[in-house]
Amino acid sequence: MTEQFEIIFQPDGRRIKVKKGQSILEAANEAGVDITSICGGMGTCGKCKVIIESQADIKDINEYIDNIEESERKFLTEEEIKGNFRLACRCKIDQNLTVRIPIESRTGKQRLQVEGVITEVKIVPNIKKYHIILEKASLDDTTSDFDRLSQHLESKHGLTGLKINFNLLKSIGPIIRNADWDFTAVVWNDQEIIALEQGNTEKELYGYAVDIGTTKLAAYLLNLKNGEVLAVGSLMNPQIPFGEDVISRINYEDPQKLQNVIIEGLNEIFEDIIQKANIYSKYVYDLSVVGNTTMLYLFLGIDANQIGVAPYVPAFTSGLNTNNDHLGILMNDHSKIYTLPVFSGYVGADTMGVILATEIYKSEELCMALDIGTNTEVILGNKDRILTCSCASGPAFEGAHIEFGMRASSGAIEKVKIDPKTLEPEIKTIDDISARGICGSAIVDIPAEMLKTKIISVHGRMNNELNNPRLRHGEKFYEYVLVWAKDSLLNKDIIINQKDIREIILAKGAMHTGTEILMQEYGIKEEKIDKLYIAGAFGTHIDLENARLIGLYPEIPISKIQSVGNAAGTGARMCLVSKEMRNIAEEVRKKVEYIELGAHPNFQNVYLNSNYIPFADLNRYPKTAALLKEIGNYPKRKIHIF
Amino acid sequence: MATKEEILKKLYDSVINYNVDECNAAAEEGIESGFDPIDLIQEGLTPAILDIGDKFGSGEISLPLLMVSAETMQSAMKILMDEMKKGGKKFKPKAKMVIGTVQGDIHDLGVTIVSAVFEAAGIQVINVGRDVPAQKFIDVAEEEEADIIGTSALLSGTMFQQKVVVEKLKKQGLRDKYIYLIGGGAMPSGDWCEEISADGWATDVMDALEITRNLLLKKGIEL
Repeated sequence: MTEQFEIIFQPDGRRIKVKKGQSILEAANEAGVDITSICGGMGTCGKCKVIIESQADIKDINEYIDNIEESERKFLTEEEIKGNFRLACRCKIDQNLTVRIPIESRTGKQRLQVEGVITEVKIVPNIKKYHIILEKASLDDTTSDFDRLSQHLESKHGLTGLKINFNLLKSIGPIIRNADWDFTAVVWNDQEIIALEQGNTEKELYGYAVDIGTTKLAAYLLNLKNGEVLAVGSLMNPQIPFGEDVISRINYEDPQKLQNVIIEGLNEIFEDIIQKANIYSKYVYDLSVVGNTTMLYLFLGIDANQIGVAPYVPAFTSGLNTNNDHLGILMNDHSKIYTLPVFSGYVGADTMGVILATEIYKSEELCMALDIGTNTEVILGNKDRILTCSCASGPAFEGAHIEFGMRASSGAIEKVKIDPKTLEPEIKTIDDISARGICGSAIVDIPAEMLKTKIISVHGRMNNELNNPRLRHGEKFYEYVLVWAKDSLLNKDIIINQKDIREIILAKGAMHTGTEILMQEYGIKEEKIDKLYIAGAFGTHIDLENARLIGLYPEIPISKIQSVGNAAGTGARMCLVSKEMRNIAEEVRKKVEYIELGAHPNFQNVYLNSNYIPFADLNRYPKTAALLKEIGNYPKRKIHIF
Repeated sequence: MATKEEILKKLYDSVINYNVDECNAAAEEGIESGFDPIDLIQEGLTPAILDIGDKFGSGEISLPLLMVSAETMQSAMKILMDEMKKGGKKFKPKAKMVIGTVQGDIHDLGVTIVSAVFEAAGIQVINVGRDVPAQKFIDVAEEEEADIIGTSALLSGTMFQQKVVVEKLKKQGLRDKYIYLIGGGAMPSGDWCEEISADGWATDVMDALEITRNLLLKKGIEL
């Protein structure tokens, strides 16, 4: 039996056991961790640099250095070698390790959806810069520096009641004199001076927009003069090792640590994107943030414990402006950071972002939006009335609780089609390599395809009398073989079993319950919905027809459905470039009604009805019902509707 | 005239096939034929719901079908229990259990499932609801002279309430009087159960029943 060792990859927090002698690159691929390898592990591109964070005993640094292969020295600097850098493809594993993959060795291609729908918005700047040449103070004119400055700004630009950041005030005198009275004042929201810069720097005006997802961070760098996106970056949320989901992070004993790692992670992305765009961080003056309520609170350092306990009430919901002095973001020191308003403990600023980006708040048409992620938020409404709720769908669509489930990365099966006659599957994997697991979009395809080929019934029960080599009794559950061992990367058959199907139905049932309860509260059925928006990375990659077939959402014509990608990020960008949008966001916050699903009297009944593929009441899914009748998979007995 | 076996089979089949009308009819027929309602419950209905529970565990039947079968069984059970009351007999349950979701938590689907299956197994279940303060579990158990207290917590932030109940029981000198069971998805392993010295834990209803059965046996109660 070959010795096995455990490798932990940071900041992803993923662990994997590998055999002695395998390379770190192989381990990373197997664990589904994002790492670049242009030459495919031959040692000729030097792109897979990693940092060995802990080794049982690096007793002798010279010996350690001696172990570095010749081929690696070409690509590693002296400094890097001393800092424990290695090439992942050359470094063979012979003990338990923690390995950090720096941002420069990542492809960023881990389907970290950063692109979102582009919504036109008029630029109404929150930050303005004024080049000023002041009369020097003299014995004849002893006006204080601040008065001199603010009087100038009032008479020239109509700004009254100006304040100044205290930390900036501390050195206003030296700054102005070092600039020889010729400088640029940076003013926040026509209210507060946040920076004073030598000479004329009016051209340099930048800002960040950020989406702090539970799983993924997305950041954008924008030119605030014209609203242009200059660079984009993303990273797995570095809080993951401390808690996979919102609840476990709320209960983590050291919230300060969570705040620290998120700020570090964001700064890592910011460092990367300002380099890409070739600008200085001191010229970044604004940051607009979306994320669910817990993510925002952990970022700001606000106590989030009460969100974890019924009635799940948040401490506050308005948009906030927080001085960067408190946070230490890589941007101008005295900037203010804007977090969009939230609605409740579980419907946060990301949902606000989606509402702004899809313009539901001013729509004449009745719109529904689903932001599918670790939690799923549902929005239903128009300019007159908007309802929202949060569904604890669980992580099944991210691969958790599914035998061969995995996150979307190289080797994950992302698409499945099943031949109705032979029951043979046709699969596509990410990067087209051999399969090693199943990711979210395939987790939607599979029950849909099985329903269409009569492998399962609307009850979700697998037919165990079908006599086909792909269908068999597994160790504990009945299963269908997607990929035979010889064709997989794992030397095991990749299967999906009855229990997996139940998990998928439970997850989609929760989402469907959200849509159904909101429609009930609104007093409408799906025919009245003019548009359905699907937000989130997941939404961009799923087969919309299959998702509808299994009842992830109501039966709405595909022509009315639009994937909007990271619409939350779009909303953050809109609020970055327009302070009018921030005011609108505040109004939206007050107007939207939040429905607590778990407390709703119909919740249990609707949830039970949603535990079918697609729904207990097949009259609500006429297209699917017709298809089922056609293929002979329509239920013989009437389904009990709770 | 149908034999007892035939009636029992009708009762069993109708629960498995979640056919309320047939189940009720079989119960009525059983009564008319003069069979003991207790036998009809214990030998007809109970095995059915236990098999349903197993099928649920293997994923063969869905959650809603479990609930429908449970409701089917409960419907017939009501007919049979009413009959017993008429005859002056009372269906004395083998054991009584107080169950609910702890304070700060409102997830109760699990409690509903456990209640349905446990009732079928002959345990009288008193569901005190959700977001229930710790003391209430104890007060109701005392009042109803229950044998078991079961608390469910789905959120890790409310788990500690399960410990609060144990602490109160100890303080009030009642710990040994009750079998204390914990459930809910908050703790996926036995560590929490051990830590707070609960008597048993489960996340699957059939496991829960098995554990409860064994614990009751130790107290001399046979389900």
